[in-house]
Amino acid sequence: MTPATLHPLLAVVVGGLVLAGGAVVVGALDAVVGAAVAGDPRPATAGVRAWRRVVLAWRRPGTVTERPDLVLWVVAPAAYVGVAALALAVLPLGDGIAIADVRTGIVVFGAVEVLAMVAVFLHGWAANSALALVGAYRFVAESLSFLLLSMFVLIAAALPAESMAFGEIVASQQGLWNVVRQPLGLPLFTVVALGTTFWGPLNLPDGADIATGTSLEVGGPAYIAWQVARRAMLAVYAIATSVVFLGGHLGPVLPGPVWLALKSVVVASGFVWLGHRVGRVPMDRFVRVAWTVLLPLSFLHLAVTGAVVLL
Amino acid sequence: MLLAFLAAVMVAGSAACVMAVVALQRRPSADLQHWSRTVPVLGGLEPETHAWGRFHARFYPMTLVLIAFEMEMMFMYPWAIVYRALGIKALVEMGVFLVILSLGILYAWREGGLGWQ
Amino acid sequence: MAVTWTSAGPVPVFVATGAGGAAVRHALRAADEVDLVRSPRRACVLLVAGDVPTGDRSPLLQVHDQVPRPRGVVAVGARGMPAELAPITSSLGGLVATILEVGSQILVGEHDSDDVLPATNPVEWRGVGPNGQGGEGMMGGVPYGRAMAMTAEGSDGLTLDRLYLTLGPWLPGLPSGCRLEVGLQGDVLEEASVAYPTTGPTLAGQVRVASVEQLRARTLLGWLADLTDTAGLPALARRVSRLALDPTPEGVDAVRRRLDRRWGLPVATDGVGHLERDDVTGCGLGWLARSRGVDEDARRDDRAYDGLELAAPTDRGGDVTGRWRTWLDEAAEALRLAEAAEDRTTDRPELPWGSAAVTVEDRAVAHAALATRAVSGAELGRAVLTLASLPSACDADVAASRAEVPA
Repeated sequence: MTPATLHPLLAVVVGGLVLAGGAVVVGALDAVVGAAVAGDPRPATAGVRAWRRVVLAWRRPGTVTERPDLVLWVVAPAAYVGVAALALAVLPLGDGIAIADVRTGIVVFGAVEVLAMVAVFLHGWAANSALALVGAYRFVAESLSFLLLSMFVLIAAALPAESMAFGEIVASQQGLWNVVRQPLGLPLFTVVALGTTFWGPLNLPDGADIATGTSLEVGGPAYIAWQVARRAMLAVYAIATSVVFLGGHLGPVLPGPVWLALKSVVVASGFVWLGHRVGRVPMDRFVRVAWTVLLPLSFLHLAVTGAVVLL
Repeated sequence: MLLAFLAAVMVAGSAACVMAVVALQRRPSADLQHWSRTVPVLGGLEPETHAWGRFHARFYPMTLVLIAFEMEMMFMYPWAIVYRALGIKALVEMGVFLVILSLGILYAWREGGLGWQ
Repeated sequence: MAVTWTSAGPVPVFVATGAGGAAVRHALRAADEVDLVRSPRRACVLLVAGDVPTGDRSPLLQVHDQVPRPRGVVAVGARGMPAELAPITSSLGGLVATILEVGSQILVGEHDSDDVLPATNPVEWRGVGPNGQGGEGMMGGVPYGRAMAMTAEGSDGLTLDRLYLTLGPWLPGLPSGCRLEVGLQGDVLEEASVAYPTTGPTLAGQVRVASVEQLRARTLLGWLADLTDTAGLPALARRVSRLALDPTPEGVDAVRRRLDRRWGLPVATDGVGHLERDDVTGCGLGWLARSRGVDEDARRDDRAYDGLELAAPTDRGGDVTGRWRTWLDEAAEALRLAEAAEDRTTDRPELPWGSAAVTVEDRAVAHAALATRAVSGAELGRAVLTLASLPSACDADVAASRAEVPA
């Protein structure tokens, strides 16, 4: 199967627009949902305030510590958004529209998660500051714990499609969406999405208990880079969730990309809402629960899916 | 295939470059910066040492279990594609493999390897 | 054009909370024009709220220098400010306007605050000395400034680096003025020593029962707001801060419904920072003993509370969840008592943060011993959350209760 691809230059434009647009949409959702949860009288103005916050931070100077690793400090947000772009590249954005819908899309997704772990680790390592380093190592522990969850869930989604390509996974949902026939998949994948973007309950590397950890020594435009990268990654994961569980670009009247966008916005709103409602899970409890509860659940999910596929 | 690879690499590379440029803006040089501004943030007091060093990663037993599962992942990628063709035999084989590895998790859990001390 | 637009805020402010300045933090958290940031590196204005203890003055100078220039310093009710900082003083009422003004002046470059600490490392390494002292590379070669960490045997037998540092008095997440000296091996506190400030606000003389109970409600809800923020729920913390400024019984119920859900705040706090019943008995912190069902309450023997029914304390469990549930219970009860108390006065009030029969120093020592026992050997995140559940008198807004803030 030759993968659906776009011309590289067109791909750069499309990928850039989706990443930037996704980051903006997620940022706006975060601000508005946060204001609603906080009980603000006019939640909609929170979006404007968030934008003003970005503009103000852009004008502030960057910061540096005594003996940092400056190269890695700059590489970290760049690598993080680079792997987010890579993940976006293997996702189908419409019928036959994809930047690089390769046959091994799931494997690329797994690689993206590992590289994202490295990027966040570098962000905490580079500052040469104790709390930032603790955040970096925390993310390694957290990431290794949900890595397997992601793989089992995606492989279960690949079973009915008999292919590891995301385009084929969408095609296999023509009759019934995966969220219905693989009910455990969406909650488990939500854990993975919140984990890779260290959002809300799984915000361990940048947690408030270590005074924002890897972001502690970061200010100015570099902080904007980091937060935009995180929101872009969340947008990509929202698109991935829609692709794998909600039928991607499938839908009656509207064009494929519009359906995908709508579904992704709904999923992103769900992620953002969870981030504002669920407290941060303590580090050691998350590792224990991920290995003793969530992983066996994903085995069960795989077994059930396998049995259903054979019927 | 090559075109797909090229497209993906170009998207990732250009996004990374843009972000690197953003992260470089207005960043002062560590050596030339006024020293008291560069002390790591700990709430007002100076650290005694550099933070870099031999960090005690408490989760190292968990990483050993992870490696076992990673090898199992490699097995599962092609398994997923041929699964429907092979039928129930494939499901049982994979079930056996997962049960054996689950014993590994059980062992690690009972020995406290998934804890933090 | 861009300048006037962004000068409407939100101004990023780092709040250095001293003794009695908690009300300022809650007021700013609830405000739209101010953005409370958790790191001085992202701040534009350093706000000092509440009294600065003597020992915490030079750490405050360090925090000041970590705010990037151009920066501004604003002080609210801050007695004991170090002389090197020249803050713009403000009252609580006009605080947001002052911050906005300073913020916009900083944006156009009309306002700045000079660095107060030295420009070069005062103990610069000088390489290898004539008698063989010093060393190569990061251990003391050509200027690297700081030593590398040495190893120590950990609790599981591995000998790896141990970082000795003090999470200082002005770190967001810790109670105001609390210092956590640690020997950090990985992210576990192999050695820990907590210190609480030995000075703090007190209530003296005859005070109205209604005032004390309202202070209790505001203080406990303020503690809950900070704990919620540290537990990773900033939006809900904003809601609780808003309530802490002006508590009502309906508000307390609404907050309890929102926080005390299975997938809400307890996710962060269940099983964290367990304290035994014996630890909290007789520690001089009334609310803490009551959280484990031990009835240490000066109000029971107080004639002024005759006829006002006090509920018997229930054992809520020794973890952080139990402690914040106790705060909600006591805040609700305090509001009810304040309503019923009318004009009664008392001269031996049960302080929100502890028993008045114990001196401030003794209470600080007992409090520190308790906290040290709770965090030793714990993982760093759990330790900080535990300390956030053990605040002191300095996290109360006594100044606001007196309706006066010395400028």
